Amino acid sequence: MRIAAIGVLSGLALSASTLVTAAMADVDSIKLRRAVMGSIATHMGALGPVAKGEVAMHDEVPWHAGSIARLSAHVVSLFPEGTGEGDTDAKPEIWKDWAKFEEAAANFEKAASALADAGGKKDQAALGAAMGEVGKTCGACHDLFRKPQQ
Amino acid sequence: MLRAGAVALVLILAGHAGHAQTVAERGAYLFRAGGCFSCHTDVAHDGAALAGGRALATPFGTFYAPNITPDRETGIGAWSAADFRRALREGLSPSGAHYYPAFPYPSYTLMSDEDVAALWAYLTTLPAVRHANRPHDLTLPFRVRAAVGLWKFLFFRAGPFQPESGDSDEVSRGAYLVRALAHCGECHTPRNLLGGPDDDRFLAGTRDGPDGRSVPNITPHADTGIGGWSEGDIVQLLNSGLKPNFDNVQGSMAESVRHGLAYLSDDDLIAIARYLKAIPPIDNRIRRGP
Ligand code: HEC
Ligand code: HEC
Ligand code: HEC
Repeated sequence: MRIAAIGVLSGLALSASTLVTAAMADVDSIKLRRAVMGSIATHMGALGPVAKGEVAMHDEVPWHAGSIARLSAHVVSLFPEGTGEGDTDAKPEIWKDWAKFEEAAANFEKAASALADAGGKKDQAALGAAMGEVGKTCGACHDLFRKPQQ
Repeated sequence: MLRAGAVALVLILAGHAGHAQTVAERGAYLFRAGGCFSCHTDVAHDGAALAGGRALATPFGTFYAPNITPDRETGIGAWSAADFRRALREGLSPSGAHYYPAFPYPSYTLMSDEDVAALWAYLTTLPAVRHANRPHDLTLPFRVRAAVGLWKFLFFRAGPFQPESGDSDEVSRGAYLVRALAHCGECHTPRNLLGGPDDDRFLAGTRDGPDGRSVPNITPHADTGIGGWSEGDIVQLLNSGLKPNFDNVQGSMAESVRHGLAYLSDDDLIAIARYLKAIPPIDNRIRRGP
């Protein structure tokens, strides 16, 4: 059930054009990016127990890690100008300081690519280290560009 | 397995302070566990450490935490150790006035004498900063300090902490940290109309937390609390602010982690996690979603 839900989303995200089209047509950029963020977080959550040594290394680790890296490439495109109002926690600072937002996304993409490498090798220690680095980039972006939850 | 794994990850996520040795060093550690820094420092405006001035919005008005540096005129430099003990343990000022419970003495009253003394020893070693206190901005009837006497009569129970019989040393240590020092309940326990804690829903979360924001249920309830979290997940959150899905906490919890909980030893964080797993689960949905 949970896995299926992630599958649908990563499948969606795998096709870059789907995302770009959705964003351009403004289908519902807000819903879409929240779903993608949620999907990234679900993949991270699936890796967490392995990174912490609570669950043994297993065959789905490379897929989860790779999915995060693939999704990370789309973060910027999920925030088209003019989507700062409505059911969203996105801060207006995103569009005021776009270069900084892009930098935060680039840092995430870079860390996620290292995570995909570690996951691909099924190396528990490297996975733990890479998760820590990715986690820092999530928080760094949220602290600047996401409103605290109400 | 849990310990090694969680600790290894945690070491990557944040730096780590070792165990304290001298009384003042022990006090420095308790100071972090007690979260004194975040309320008494105006971090947002680059205020000097512990010189006060941070605004705390509550349903009863806005409080400005005072200067607690050893400055004799604007801080607590003229206080005795007994004055300090009375403030933390009884919620009374040196002149006998009641403190508002925005100062979490209803939790600190549970501290041991030894810990209160160590905290005092540490505070006296800090640089004195001259910075006058800003008066609180409160609504009636709370503007009247004497009204706090009634509040205390209704809700304040003086400490110190008594461990529950049957709890292991580790769970008791966790209980002491959660209830006396880290005052998790001050934010995570819902309050009644008079601002008294609803002890029957201890740590069950509230939609009217500090700064008008909601605070999640952290009892081990499977659907509405953190029953699905492992001990390692809890340790990770307290150490780095990252939830099991690596999304980070923000707002007042992020401050509590950054300026306080992240400094705690792994043993203490594991004790907190074990205690949180041992308290009764309470069904109380706070977070949005199904
Ligand atoms: C470049 C900035 C950026 C990065 C990097 C980033 N996020 Fe986000 N994230 C956001 C913003 C902005 C929102 C708020 C989106 C909205 O409400 O429209 C958000 C929202 C979320 C949400 C809430 C989704 C919902 O349902 O509302 C989660 C969970 C989340 N992010 C997890 C993560 C995790 C985990 C990572 C790292 C693995 C991460 N994010 C990396 C900017 C970022
Ligand atoms: C949640 C915010 C908060 C935290 C955490 C907090 N305080 Fe305070 N503190 C306050 C407020 C607000 C007052 C003023 C209360 C009043 O005026 O009645 C106060 C008052 C005091 C006073 C009295 C100062 C005076 O001039 O009368 C002392 C001493 C003190 N705090 C020490 C501490 C210590 C030590 C800690 C950590 C163990 C701590 N506080 C943690 C908010 C906080
Ligand atoms: C100053 C208020 C405050 C204090 C003190 C505090 N918390 Fe929190 N806590 C919060 C808020 C607000 C959130 C929600 C943050 C968010 O999601 O961005 C939170 C979130 C959490 C979460 C995440 C729960 C979830 O479902 O996402 C846990 C676990 C937690 N706190 C545990 C603790 C523990 C344990 C303590 C004491 C050691 C503590 N908190 C002390 C305010 C506080």
